[in-house]
Amino acid sequence: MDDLLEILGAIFLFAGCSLTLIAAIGIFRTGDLISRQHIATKPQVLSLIFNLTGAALLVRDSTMSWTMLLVIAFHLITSPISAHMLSRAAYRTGTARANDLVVDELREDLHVNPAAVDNGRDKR
Amino acid sequence: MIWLVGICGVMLFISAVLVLWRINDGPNTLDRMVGVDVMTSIVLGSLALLVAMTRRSDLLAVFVVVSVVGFLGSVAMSRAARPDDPGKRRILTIEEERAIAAAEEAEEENDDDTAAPVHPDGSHEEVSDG
Repeated sequence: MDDLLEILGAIFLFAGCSLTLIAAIGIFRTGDLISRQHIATKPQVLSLIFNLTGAALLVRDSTMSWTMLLVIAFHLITSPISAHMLSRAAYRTGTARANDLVVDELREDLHVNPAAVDNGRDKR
Repeated sequence: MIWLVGICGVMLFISAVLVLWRINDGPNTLDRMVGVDVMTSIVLGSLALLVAMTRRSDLLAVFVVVSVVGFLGSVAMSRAARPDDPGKRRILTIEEERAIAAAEEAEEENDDDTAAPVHPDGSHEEVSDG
């Protein structure tokens, strides 16, 4: 049983580190902010989950496992928030608009239906 | 086991170098903040590697602290973001956004004088204050 957990933890650690490397290569290569965020939010979170699960499987301590679960849950909650804040700031400062967005629904709403934008204004 | 730690350490090192390059090189602040997010994840991964190698469980608080600090830094920096163009001093307000949109609209309307575009689902009437 312990050998099985060791091997499983090693596999998890290896997968997590590979995904981190993939995310770093993507961050290094892609051209604009939105696609960089796409890379920074997906493989990054999965690699974090794999790494922490691997560490919890290798150490096999109750406090360790629960803290790892806590960190994973916290990261799953906060990662979309920070990504949303970053992309919102990018749109507002005009960084994202310079690139060719395929769909820009916020701009359509600003054109045609300003009431909806006014309504959401206090809740920013 | 030591093989695994070595391979994973090399991979984490290469990714840290690549992300550091991006943080140095990124065209503006927001690109750098995306890089810092990924760097936080790399730091957490190497912490997990250290814990798995030494089997010590007294580094638990470090995981929580690094995760929280990474999130707060990213949110604070994106709140304080400034446009790169020195002509604009701050984040645009709704009125300025709408003025830009109206200018672009007028520019498009110069080409063909069709009717005003209508939103597919919507109308101009007041939306109730929820």
